[in-house]
Amino acid sequence: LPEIFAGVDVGAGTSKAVIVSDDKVLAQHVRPTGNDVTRSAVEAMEGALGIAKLELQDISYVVSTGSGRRKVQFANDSMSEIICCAIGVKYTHPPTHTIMDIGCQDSKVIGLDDEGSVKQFTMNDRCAAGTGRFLEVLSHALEVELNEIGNLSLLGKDPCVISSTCTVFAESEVVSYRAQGRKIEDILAGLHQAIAKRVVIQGSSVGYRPDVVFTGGVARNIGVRKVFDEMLGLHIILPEEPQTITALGAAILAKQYYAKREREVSQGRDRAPTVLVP
Amino acid sequence: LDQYDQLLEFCGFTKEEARDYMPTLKEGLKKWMIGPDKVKESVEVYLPTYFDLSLPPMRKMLGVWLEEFIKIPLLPKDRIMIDTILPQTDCSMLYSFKAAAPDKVWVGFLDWIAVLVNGGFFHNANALVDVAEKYGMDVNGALCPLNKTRYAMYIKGIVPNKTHTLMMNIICDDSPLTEEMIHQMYPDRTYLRHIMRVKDAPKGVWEDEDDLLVEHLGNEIRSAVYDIAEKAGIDYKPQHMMAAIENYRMYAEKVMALAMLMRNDPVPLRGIDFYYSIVPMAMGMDIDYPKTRGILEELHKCVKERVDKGVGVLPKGAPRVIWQTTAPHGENNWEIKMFEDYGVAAYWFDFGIPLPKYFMPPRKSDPFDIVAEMFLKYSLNVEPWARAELINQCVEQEGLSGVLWHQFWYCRHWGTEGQMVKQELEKKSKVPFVVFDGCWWHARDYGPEKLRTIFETASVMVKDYANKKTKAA
Repeated sequence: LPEIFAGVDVGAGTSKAVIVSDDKVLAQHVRPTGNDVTRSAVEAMEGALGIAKLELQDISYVVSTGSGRRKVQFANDSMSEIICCAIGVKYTHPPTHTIMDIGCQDSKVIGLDDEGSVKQFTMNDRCAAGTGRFLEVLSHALEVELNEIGNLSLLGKDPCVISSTCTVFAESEVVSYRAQGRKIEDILAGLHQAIAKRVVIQGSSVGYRPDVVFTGGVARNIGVRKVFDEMLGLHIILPEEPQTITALGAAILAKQYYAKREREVSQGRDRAPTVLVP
Repeated sequence: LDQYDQLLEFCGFTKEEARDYMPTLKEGLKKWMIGPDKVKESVEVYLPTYFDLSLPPMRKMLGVWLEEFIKIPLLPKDRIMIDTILPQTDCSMLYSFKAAAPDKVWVGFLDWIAVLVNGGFFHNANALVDVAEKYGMDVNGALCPLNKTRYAMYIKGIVPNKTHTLMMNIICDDSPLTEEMIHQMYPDRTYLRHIMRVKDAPKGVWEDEDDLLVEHLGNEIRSAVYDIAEKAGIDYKPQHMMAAIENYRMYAEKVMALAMLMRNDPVPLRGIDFYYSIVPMAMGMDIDYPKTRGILEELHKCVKERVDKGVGVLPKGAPRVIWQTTAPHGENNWEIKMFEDYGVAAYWFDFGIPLPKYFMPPRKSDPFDIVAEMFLKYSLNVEPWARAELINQCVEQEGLSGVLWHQFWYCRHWGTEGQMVKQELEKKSKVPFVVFDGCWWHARDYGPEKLRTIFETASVMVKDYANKKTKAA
């Protein structure tokens, strides 16, 4: 039987699990993370296992990733989501040199070399501006469903100018524009420009060498994608499954780790201790 | 043993010394607003987790820091306090006052000592920042937490006497502004003296090699030092500066000897232990330097034994990196440890360790010009292009596999310099250069998990680069 591997990406908004075998995705599952990070990882994994009709003991090796990666008790190993995202993207689209990844609370721009190794990266810190949370808060303020705002924004003919630096300030501006009677699609178009501007500037030190791939939950928003295309003057590539690609990378890494461990065991040595002197 | 006994034991005190020192310790900690719970946390978590207490001289080095910290609020009323804003890097200026009037003068860098012990030992740096914000300094952005710490020390009476402050207007404009504010609020408790030097040398001009620039800074130092001495009532002579230069040189040599041992593979000492041992060279402290040099010698001997036995704190072949700035947060020594846990030796500080250029004999003979020349040789003090050059030399000579640049998001100077140095260095080298965002002094304003992600990713990049280097070789 072929070996089976899994990656679990526990993000701030959603937890994702991907199961692979023979370099093919057998199953994937996404669920909200909620308050209990450990539980959400289990449930994401159970969801994927159910789809694949497998049990946890059928999985040879699991790598966890995402901000909650250290709380995944059934994982054999963990790795940062930046590395896992790079592995997942390189696997699905080898010519990639730049990744823009926007999740619920994080935005990252990752530069890859020709071999797919991470060469540079930037990551937001502290502030939710430029993340999915920004869109979530503001769609709530506008009373529009999150999954509708991308398409609606495309109808905007006269985008409002909205602060890209602060979610709270932006919310005040949105309320103000609404009071002025501005069209909702123009406000949404402005919001999409704001988030895109924030991330484009954030990644300017990394650069945008083609091919540029857009990942994370926000990549499913066609409005943000379109603004990125315009701002960068590039065709931004969207993977088939942008939200689970980091979990996919973790699953691919699980395969590599498993092979390394098997090699070490066959050579009669365990993994080297990280600290020799207490 | 209660937590106070344990603290002194961890800091290398004998039982007799601890018995004698205990009342002073408790009185000093009370002034610093550090209660029994914080001391308990320190001895149960902080000190054993982050410092190598298996090394007796390392314990003694921690004792040097603790005594320095406790001493400040308990200084006698007649003790003249001379302090500095920003690291001296070459601490001869401060120490020369000590040479002139050893029994009358206290010298140091108040806020840094506060942060490195209050935060580094007791996880309590936030307390002073909170005080400063309660009393009017802006919350979060725009103001350096280091200066908030200084402000809070005045408010809480932790600084007991009038201070004579040498303001190093070298790279920062926030510190002088803060000090001006303190001066306005407490006009009788501070005297300020600026040392001016503008970083405006054209690209390609090494400032330490330019007589005009060296002598200008030398004159500034001379003028400031004599002014402070006069105001403080100290009989100051040029030979005091010469004595301070010699004192500094002797400490620097011990540091370099230890640094040479750190070149061994496996790396024999944790970065955090190394850091707390070398910083007295760069910040100017009131410590007994000959005694501390002796501790460094003892530490050198212990580390040499590890080298001879072939043991280290990381597996053989672990890649090494250079840090910009004083890598350990006062509040978060775990940053260096985290890199080590990921298998990367993060110990070579371009701020703390003089690069080879520093050890070339000075061209100047006047003591104030010598200090100026030395100052301008330090990586921390030079223009971004020159800093990139010095870092590149270090990367090549030491075979390093990464440059980690801790960018202070609130800092007008360091917030931009990182990117400039990065751009310059990338013209010369393919070595990974990771700029990460954070706050130097306290842990409120960033997510530890995000920093963990950044560090873990940087570790992978560094290891990847090291592997490629090895394969290519």
